[in-house]
Amino acid sequence: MFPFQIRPDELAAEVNQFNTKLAQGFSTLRDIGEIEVGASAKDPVYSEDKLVLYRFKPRVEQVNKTPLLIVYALVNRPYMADLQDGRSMIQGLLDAGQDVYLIDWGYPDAADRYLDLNDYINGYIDRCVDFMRRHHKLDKINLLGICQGGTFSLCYTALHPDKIRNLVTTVTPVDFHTRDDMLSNLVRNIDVDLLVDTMGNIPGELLNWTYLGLKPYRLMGQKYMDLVNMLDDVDQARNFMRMEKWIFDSPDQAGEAFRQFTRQFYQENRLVKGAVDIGGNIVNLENIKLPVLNIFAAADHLVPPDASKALRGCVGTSDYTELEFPGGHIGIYVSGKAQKMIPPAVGEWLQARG
Amino acid sequence: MNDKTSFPFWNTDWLEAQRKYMEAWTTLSQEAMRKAAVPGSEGNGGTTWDATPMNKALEYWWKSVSHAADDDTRAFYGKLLDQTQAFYFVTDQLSRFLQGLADAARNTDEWQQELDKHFEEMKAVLMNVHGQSGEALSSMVGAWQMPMDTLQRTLSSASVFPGDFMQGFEPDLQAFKSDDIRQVTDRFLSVPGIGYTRESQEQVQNGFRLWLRYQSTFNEYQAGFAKVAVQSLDHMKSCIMDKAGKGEAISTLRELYDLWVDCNETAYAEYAMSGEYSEIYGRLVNDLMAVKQHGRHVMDSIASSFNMPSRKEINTMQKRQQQNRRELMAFKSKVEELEEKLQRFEKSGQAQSSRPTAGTQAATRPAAKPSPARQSRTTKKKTRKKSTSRKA
Repeated sequence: MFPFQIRPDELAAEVNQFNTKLAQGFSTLRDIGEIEVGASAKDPVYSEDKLVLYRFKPRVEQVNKTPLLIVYALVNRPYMADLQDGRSMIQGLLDAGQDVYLIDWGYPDAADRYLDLNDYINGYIDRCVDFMRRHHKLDKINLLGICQGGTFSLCYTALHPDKIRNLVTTVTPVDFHTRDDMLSNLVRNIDVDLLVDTMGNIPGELLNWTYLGLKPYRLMGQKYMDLVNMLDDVDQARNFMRMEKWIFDSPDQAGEAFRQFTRQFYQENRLVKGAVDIGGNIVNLENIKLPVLNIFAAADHLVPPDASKALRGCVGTSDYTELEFPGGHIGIYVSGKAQKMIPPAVGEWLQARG
Repeated sequence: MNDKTSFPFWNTDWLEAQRKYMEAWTTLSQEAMRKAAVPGSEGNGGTTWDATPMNKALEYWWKSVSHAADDDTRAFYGKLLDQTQAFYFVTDQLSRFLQGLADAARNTDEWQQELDKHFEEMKAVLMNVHGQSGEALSSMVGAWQMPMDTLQRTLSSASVFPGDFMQGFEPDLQAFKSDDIRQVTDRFLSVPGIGYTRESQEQVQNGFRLWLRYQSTFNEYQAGFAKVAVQSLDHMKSCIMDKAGKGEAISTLRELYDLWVDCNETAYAEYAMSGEYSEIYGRLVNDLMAVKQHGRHVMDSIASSFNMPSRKEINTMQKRQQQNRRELMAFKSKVEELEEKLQRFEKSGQAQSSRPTAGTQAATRPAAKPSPARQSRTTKKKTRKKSTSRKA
């Protein structure tokens, strides 16, 4: 039997129904109001240039004495980790008894053009860590890195192992040359010197389109057809718009940091070779002898699982744990499944290690 | 609550027009189906639907209601409508194509051969986008342009030109593909600059040369996507055969669209992971950057001639400023370290002066534990020393 079996009257009814939903959806979107992001109460406790270090207010009485610093990627905005009530990794970590701090990098502009990886890792991150150590009168704190922030956290911990008690990495690229890494394949032959010398800072919009270009038919088309089917539900529509806001809220990248990250990590894959150079300091992941929890997403199209799992063979610790999340790069922070799985697992793992 | 009050745009003409259109269209298509139906056979008649009136009706409706929304909603909904039109376009074209196959299948037992034949024709059209082909198949090609559109947006965000800048040059660019014209152009660009303005002549020639190189690479890139489209057709054919084998049917436009998306994503991912794609994508970005950088040099020369700051000068200033800030932070850190040290000495001195015999006791007492921050700087120094020696 030939599998194309659409009767014209059914087809007409389908189109009619679709258009009706589209028209009704217009009023949903029109009346949806301001899209709010960020669910948890927090205070700015330290700032420097455009960076702000936030401390979240505790949600339980018994809080881990060792505070946890979350280092987010330079790409997109960190509120993805605290998107909304019930879809917030930070909320989950607070419920799990963690004292959570978060670095918000802000929006770099032309004046930040010459910020490099040394400024970010041995400068900004180090000063945030020192602030927390002083404030809590502790020698060491816990560190959790998200995506590129995870890579930064690895570099930082390898260079300053005396300041970190436990390290958690989430969807973090370590081996940038795995066979299924499309993003890496895309940037492999780009003359990054020419790109940065020409553009200065790298526009966030350029990165957005690059990410969307990894799955163009799905992310530029089909996704919006799915939206039409959920426009009669205001909550679902609002959730969609919240994600949409996050996806397109993309800061520009400081030129020098982008140049170094693209060349050393994506093009030359130096992290797994123990050859990354941050301000004259060589990053050797074998220096990481403290407990490491590495969380990756099985269906991650931006950081393939193998790119994260490579960490096992690089770190010098005997206390290494892997956790696989059955979902994608973003779902690991915002999906309902992730809320039940990731923060409690992180909390339990940290509590067990002091 | 009746239907009229439950529907927010009941009083817009668009829905009424759509309803009438659908009714008329359904009547016509049912009539056509009856005429085309083969007695005793299952399935569809020889009819298809036409998405053009639907798109026009959609546009009309949007014009009538869009003023009611704020700018953000209007922008987002405009995007949604663009995608809806793409959805209609793709499903319209695909359903025409598959309906043709269904008709052929009804008239022969060997419909797989018909399937092969139709897909081969389709592939031939996709491989030769600018070639002569049937109208239906040519319009189908447009459905495969989505990644190119995405790419245009990517490039335009990095370019001084709007996204469809190159599209406007399309007819002339075809001419550049001709070797004869290309040779003439090359000769023109090889003419050495003469006289007082020779440098600016060369600058213009060089800019034109870079732009041509970018355009040539863009054409190559576009040709690569024709291969993706062909590959996606292979995937689609195999999916259809698979469904036929399992006795599964595609019974909605949405299923058809989803199948098209899946097949294209699969084909695109295969191509995007290849070394060939990496090479040409890199070259495309590099060639565009070369054009843009050339433009910047020209602007810098103009700015300098008016004694205005050039990009180059600003870069130098920004670089120095960043270096100054690094040094300032390092000095600040050093001062804090010295202050702590001083405070410890002062405390130690006060303790000694208040207790005359403390000197001998202090010598046997362990040194005060440095603060976490102080300690970290000491350790950092050690780490750095270690790292440097490893590097050496």
